[in-house]
Amino acid sequence: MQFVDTNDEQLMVRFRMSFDQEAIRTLLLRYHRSALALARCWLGNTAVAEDAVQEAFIRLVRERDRYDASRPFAPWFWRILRNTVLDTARGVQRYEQRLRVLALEQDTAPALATEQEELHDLLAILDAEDREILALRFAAGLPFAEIAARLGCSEEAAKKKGQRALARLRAVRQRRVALPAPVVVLPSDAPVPD
Amino acid sequence: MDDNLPLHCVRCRELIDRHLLGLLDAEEADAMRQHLVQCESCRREAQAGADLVAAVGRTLGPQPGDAALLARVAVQAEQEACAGNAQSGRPRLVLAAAAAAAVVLGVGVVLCLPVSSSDHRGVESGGPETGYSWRIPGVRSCCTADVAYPVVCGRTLLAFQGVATGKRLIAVDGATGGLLWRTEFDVTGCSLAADLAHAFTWRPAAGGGQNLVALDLANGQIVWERAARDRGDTAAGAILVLAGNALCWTAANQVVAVDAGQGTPLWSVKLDRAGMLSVPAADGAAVFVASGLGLWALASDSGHVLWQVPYAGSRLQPIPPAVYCDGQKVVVATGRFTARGFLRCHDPRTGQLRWGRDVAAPVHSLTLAGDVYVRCGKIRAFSGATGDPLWSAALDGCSPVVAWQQRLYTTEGQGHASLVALDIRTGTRVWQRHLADSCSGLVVARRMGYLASRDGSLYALDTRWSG
Repeated sequence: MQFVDTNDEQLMVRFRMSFDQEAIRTLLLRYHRSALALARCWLGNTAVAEDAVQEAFIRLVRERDRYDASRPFAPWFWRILRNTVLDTARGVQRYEQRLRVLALEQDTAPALATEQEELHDLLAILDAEDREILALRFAAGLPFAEIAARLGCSEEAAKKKGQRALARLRAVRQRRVALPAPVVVLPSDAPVPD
Repeated sequence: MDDNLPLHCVRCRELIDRHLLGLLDAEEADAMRQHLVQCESCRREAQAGADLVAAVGRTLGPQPGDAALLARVAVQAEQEACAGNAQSGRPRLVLAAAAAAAVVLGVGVVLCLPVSSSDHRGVESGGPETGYSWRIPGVRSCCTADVAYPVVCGRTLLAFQGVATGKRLIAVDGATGGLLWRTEFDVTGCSLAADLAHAFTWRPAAGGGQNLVALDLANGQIVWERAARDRGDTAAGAILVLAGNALCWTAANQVVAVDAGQGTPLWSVKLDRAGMLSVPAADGAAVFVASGLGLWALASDSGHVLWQVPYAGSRLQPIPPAVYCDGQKVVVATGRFTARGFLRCHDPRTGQLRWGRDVAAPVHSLTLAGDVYVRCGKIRAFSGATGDPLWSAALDGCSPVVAWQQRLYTTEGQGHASLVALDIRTGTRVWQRHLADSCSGLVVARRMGYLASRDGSLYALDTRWSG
């Protein structure tokens, strides 16, 4: 790749000054995996998260002139992503409220994708910071040095936070497993055609 | 963590967490391995932890569609940069961006369809300067996106035209819009179908209820008429033409089939307590219908149940699922009035579920062209084989989506709407034309797009003009 040794700040400045397409592609490659992992963990829905990440990258391009080249790129981009995710979540919430008014009965959750739903339920119990650490480490595969930069703490502190987040996730799951598993019963009057 | 565990197990479980996070040094890793060899409980704990973090990776981590998403974002970012560059007057890419903008503006100005308040019933010719080939005012829109409307049969186009007492069925020449015939009686419902010789629709019956009528496609004369009320209550359901000179429809909890040539009953199947049934779909040998509680395949010649698949849903859903079949797969869209639409893809021979996926929004319409194209908030494309997302395109509205020759056609927005052509492989816009209003029915055939607009007109548009 052309920009292996070029840091994020230099890439952003290069893109802003000369509209270098390779520079913006390199930034997308560096950030899209972490952005998707975070958006999925914040929003709890893959399709909506993909839309939010797409929108965040478009905002990055639109707001390129607001980037302060004397400051690090990563926090600036994470702020754009977070704001986009918040806007998306608010939009989804408004949409669901309107549908609830209109719908006579909520559709039952589909029988598929149970692992995803279960995990999103477990993650929703954790603190936002715990969720982010787990997403960045296990879904985006970031090293702790980068997670520390994202969290604004030392690498050692990030490792400790990671251990605590994983311990909490395991504890939450153990509590969940200890509960009686929900029994899915098909309605007894399920149609059986002649 | 359990306080009753021996000390070395407590220590081991800390090490397991550090191992899963990739933080163990060689000495710690050795200690953990030695303990795991002896302790079954910690081995189980290690496996459970590994499964848990793997699940986090699978749920939040890379998905099969991520590469396509990245490519799409890169293209959009470049387009956005080009557009912004043109606005800010920067030197690079200005020519390309200006050319692109000129194309878009040109299409918008030249191809804008005028909104006419005239109420005459004749055809109005157009041309490239108007954006349409012809227009017929006073045509009724369709009340559901689950059926194709208007209906194209060879060179003949069938649609509903509004009259003072209700609506009539008209047949027009698809090339010129010239009126071929119009029924002398009012028709009812939104259902309309045709085979090579007949047009089929519903008309109000003298004693209440509806009659199914078959009309000669050449002159509009009634060939046969039969009461809908046969066994149980049947309303004016969407009519589907089947192979073997038959047609069927669903109403309440029944699927009914009759002979297309004479209207004589062939078979009728009652799906007790199934709830509201979908519009049927067929693949030659079978008819597929679904409700909130399941999917059924019926033999098209006998109505015999070939297979059925139960869904963990509700029979009280306000809108039934939508079922589509292209011979290779049966796709069912459920949750059509909730925040979470859901797609299921089945084998048409066995009913086996091939894939299922959440689409995050209600499904307004869907079309199959190898892959699956869904209007659910945005337009989303999914692999027909795996259900993996391929691309999504942001288009407001809920009008039908039509696939034809490597392009998807639909309308965007309401009021100031546009007809949009998308590249079927990438979802990028190929062209768009401004319209008087959005549409409730859209069909593309023989390079012509026929559009039942909500402004009360039927438009014929040549898809090559902006292609």
